[in-house]
Amino acid sequence: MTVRDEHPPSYRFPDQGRDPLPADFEPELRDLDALLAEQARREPVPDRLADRVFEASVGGLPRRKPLPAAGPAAVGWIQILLSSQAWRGRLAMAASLGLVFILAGLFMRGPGKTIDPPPERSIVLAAWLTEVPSDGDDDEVAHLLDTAALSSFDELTGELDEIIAEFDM
Amino acid sequence: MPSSPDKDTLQETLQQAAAGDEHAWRLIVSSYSRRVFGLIRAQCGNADLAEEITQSTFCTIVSKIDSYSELGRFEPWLFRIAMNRLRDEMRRRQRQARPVEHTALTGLAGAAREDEHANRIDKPESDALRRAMAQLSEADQKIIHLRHFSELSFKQIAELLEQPLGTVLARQHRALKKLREIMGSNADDE
Repeated sequence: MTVRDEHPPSYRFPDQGRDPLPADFEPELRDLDALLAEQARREPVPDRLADRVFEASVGGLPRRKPLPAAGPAAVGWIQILLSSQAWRGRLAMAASLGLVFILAGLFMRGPGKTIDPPPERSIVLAAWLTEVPSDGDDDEVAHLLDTAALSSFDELTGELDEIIAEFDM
Repeated sequence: MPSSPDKDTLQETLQQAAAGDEHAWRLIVSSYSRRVFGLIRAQCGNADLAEEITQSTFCTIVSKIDSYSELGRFEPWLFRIAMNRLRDEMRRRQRQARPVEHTALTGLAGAAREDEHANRIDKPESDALRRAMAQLSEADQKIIHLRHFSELSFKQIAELLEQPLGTVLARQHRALKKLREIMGSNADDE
């Protein structure tokens, strides 16, 4: 029986072979260990063992992962555009220009140039606020009327009254 | 004689095999089948059974290779599976009332009975060694076989047996000492 290496690797295990025995092992035990190693090394291996083991086991190997299937044309174009350095630069430039135009438009329009009409819900709320009847409970909260929050609320109510009056005209 | 890949290359090769690379798998089989076969034959003394278990071991490995995650512990994992396969097979044979010959578990002594191994060295000291090995306990034989046939480091043997490194070294020392005593006793008897 002979030993045959069908596909010997081209590299070697750095710590290939047995560990050296610790220093506290007696010399006669070291000799015996060396004899065992030599005998194990000389034990023959059946011819083509690795081939037979490979053939018996290779069927269980996971299948290779398939390449991703071709997607829609749009995805393909996007991939082509993104894969090109030049096209990526052009896309970035176009996006920057677009952003500049949007900002410029907003700036030229400026604040307060137009007054959007208040939503209908605000008008109903304002009307309700003006129609709330006062009752005796006012006395209980009278001490709060001087607070800043309620004062501002009072001013807001006045402004809403003016806006409603303008719409009525 | 094929050697084993270094650790980084081994991990890379395992990943390639897990992805379905047949060449990577062949490399793993070539690197380790001899060592698995040697360990199992030393344990059971039967080359046919050893080859059967070697094939079964690699079939198990290949079925689990894509879920293998114990990086750096491939060899203890591989040899543990092989040892478990042998143990299961021995139990199965015992259940089927086919008694395993005592010599089937005597490692080197059992291997010595195989006439087909024509190129085996045949020196008196080798025969004496085989006879002495046959008289060792199964546990002592195993610790010697793991060192010399699976070619595992002491650290890897400790991982495989799930024992502390110091225990493995102590067992190795004790087994060698017993073996030497048996060889001396046998020499006196002759």
